[in-house]
Amino acid sequence: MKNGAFGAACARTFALAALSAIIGLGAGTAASAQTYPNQPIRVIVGFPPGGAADLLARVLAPHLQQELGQPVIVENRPGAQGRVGADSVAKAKPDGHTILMSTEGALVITPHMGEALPYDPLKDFAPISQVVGFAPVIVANASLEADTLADFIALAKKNPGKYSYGHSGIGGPNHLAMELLKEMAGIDIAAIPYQGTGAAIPAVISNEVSLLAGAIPALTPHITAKSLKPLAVTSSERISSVPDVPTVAESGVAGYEMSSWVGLLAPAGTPDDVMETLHAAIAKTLKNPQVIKSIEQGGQTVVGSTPDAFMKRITGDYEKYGALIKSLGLAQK
Amino acid sequence: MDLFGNLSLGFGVAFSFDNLLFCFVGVTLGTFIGVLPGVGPLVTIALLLPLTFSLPPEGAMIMLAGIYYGAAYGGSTTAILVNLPGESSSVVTCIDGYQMARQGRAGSALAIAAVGSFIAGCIGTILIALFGPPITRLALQFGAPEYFSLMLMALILTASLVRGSVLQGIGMALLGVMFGLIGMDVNSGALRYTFNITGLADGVEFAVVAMGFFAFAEIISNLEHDRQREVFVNKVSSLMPTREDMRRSIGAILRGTGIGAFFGILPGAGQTISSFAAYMFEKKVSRRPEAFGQGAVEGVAAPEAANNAAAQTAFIPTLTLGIPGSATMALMLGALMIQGIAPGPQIMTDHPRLFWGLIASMWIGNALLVVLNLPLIGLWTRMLKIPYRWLYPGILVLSCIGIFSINNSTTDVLLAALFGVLGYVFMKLSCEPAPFVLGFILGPMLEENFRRAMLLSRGDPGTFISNPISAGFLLVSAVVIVAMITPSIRRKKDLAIDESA
Amino acid sequence: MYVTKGFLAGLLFMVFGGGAAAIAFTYRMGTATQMGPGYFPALLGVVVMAIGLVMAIRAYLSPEGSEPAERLHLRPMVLILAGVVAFGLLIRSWGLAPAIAALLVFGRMAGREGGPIEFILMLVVLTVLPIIVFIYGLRIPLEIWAQ
Repeated sequence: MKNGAFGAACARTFALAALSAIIGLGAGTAASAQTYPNQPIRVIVGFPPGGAADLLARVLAPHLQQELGQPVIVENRPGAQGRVGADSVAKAKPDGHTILMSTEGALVITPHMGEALPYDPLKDFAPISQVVGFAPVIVANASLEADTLADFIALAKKNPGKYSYGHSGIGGPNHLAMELLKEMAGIDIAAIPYQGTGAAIPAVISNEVSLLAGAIPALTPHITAKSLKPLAVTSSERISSVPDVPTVAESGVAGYEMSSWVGLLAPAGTPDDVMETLHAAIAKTLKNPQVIKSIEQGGQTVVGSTPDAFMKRITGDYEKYGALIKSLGLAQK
Repeated sequence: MDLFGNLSLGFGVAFSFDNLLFCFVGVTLGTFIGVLPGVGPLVTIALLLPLTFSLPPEGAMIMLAGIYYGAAYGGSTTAILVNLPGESSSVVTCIDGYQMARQGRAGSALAIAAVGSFIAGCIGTILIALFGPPITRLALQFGAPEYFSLMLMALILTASLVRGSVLQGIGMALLGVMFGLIGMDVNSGALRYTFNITGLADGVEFAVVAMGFFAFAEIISNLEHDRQREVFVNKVSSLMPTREDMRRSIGAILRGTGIGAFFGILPGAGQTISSFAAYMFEKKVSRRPEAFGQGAVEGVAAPEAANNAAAQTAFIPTLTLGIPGSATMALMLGALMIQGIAPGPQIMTDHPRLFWGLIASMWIGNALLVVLNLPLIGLWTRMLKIPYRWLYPGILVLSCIGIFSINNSTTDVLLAALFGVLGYVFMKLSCEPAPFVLGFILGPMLEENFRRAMLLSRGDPGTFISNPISAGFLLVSAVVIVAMITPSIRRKKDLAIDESA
Repeated sequence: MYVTKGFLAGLLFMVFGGGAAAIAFTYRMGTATQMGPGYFPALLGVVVMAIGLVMAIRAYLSPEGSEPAERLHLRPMVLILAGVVAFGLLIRSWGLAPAIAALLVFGRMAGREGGPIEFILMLVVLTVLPIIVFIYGLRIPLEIWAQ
């Protein structure tokens, strides 16, 4: 085929593509001039499908869709323990059509671990609501010669360096919870990192490590099957789905508290009326009894706080974890 | 355990109209997704999860499971036809499958893959029914030292995958390991080789490497105008395998099933390793190892059987111990828990309808897959006749969308382009991609488990030998190394003797 | 002529191995039993470099042992690379349709076969079909035209 004719074909194609792009952009700009929401809303989750934030987002999405009148799509952007997802929302257009469902890690823990972040966790986001709170549960291998956390602490003090615990990743909430426990209880146990709680579970079941701190939904089946014994929960109060498990504070480590949350955030600069609409939608969804049941079955507690309360929580946690990570010497650089 | 009673309960559940429909939808969707490059069962199951909330738990699990093992089927189709692995476990099928297609035996390859997968699936289902929990307890014996030794043995056996120079093959494998190390180091939290690109913090996605090396590099190579592009489509001989093919395959299928069933249970090891292991084992025990890589039908039968068997047995630890072997399994676990069902040993007694119904439906699903796929072979081979100028843009579009949809990440697509160029360079230098891919997958696990074993043993290297399973793998590795070196030593000795005479 | 496949492959390995080892040495090394993040990659890098060196020397000393390297055809390579990169850059900012269009344009320029009508048809088919399959069928969150 002759080059000349092909060149013309190329030029025609470019023109066609350019034209379509322009029409598309034009249609887009016209659309955003209307009231909110006027397009599908994307809830960005910074983890692959199946994690706590992801499942929660998928449970809430259909209800939010009903409230907001537009399709609510969950989009996974995994990477760097939630940082990729957080970054993409930090840089998204603040029109309320792109929001972030995030655990506290990417916002208040990883900033202190030493890597430079491409976003500012306190300034680049407009918190909408803390959706749920949850806390890891500390479990032990079934054959461990201690049935309560208090007993284990005594055991560990008598045998420094003998025991080890698994965790879901350096700098993760489970790792921090156990390191805080070590420091406050004064025990010497080795930390063995794994690629996530899922990879650590076989290890503690087979007694490769003696202890594990992890999310309640992931561990409940094993507790029920008696392959793991629950020792304590790290929150300040007992958790409704495992009422017989004492808190760490109750087990002899006074003043210990460590909990996680999942929250909804919008990019900073999102207009106030959009924020109100979003907050109203999530607040209403969290009053739905079916939703509450799904959440509590997962060992989480419904919170549904206001944007201001959430912002306070984030700032408070940011400082708390900063101090904690510094005192534990966990930062990488 | 009343096996017969349980199975009849299971089939009763599975044969209900609703559940048959769910099964059908699941396997069809799964096959389809397996064919599409990049898009995998993980993404699909995640998207369909909300749908399953309103379905009864048996139906939901039957459908999701169908998607999962259906995808293993579909991935082999594109591997054979266009040298593009639809799933990571189909990479090995590309080696001989594509060669068979070039020789006009695509129909035979596809049929053997389907039949082999069916047989493997049936046997796998029986294994789950009979030996579920005991086998899982065996898998629990695998700790860090065992995984390390297993990976080491596998990497050393990689040398047998190599068609050309062994040194180059080892170099490629190690190069693959290096690329596999990109990302965050589990044991220290440090980021390696990421050059501050956030998209690299979790490493390079397997599909990115596969797409780049197999799809893009191949397309670039085919677009060179100096060479005559082979028109092999006209040589499509028959759609059905010859008796010779079937005879050769049956042993391969059975061996592949055994290997796949074993690896499927090991959390983390997974289907990809099972297909590689089956291929390498088959080549080792074959009477005509030189045929491998040139279109040996056993080279298709063994890995296909293996990855399907692995897909079935992967359910065992998930259901009976609540230990998900992979991200996709973890998702299904999540689906179960949202339904209020707790996986674990008590699942067989607390929810017998679900457990046995699921197992029975796996058998049905495998049968459905064969019924679906065999007639489609004619359609697929006709696709080979599409002029290349239509085929390659289609592959490009599907691959790019597939890659992007894994993590919704632009970085992944850009990386795939780079791997395309690298793959093209490798092709020009006759460097084989298969050892690279194996190193890419296994290498990081090797390092992770070595360091973990050291952490656990507080720095004592003897831990690899004091654990019997680990010692066993190391012994095999040593034997293999010796076996590889001695022929060349003997050859050199013979040469020296000849020269001095 | 010693520019054989073996020689170039050896050089390639030396470059990759050397580069990887150099970077790895900047990470914390640790000891053999308490490996830091840099130990294993540094070790690997050195071994790969050594393998590359041996391959290159072998090929240099006996060039008849390896085939001469084939020519790299830059045109299809650069164009396909550009097409995939264009897809990657456009899909988030402009949407799926422009990304596919760009990919196909570059793909066409790499292939140089077929008439303009056929190309327009291909553009339409290969845009509409994926939209139906991926967006409506599999419900993957892709935007056809980004806002």
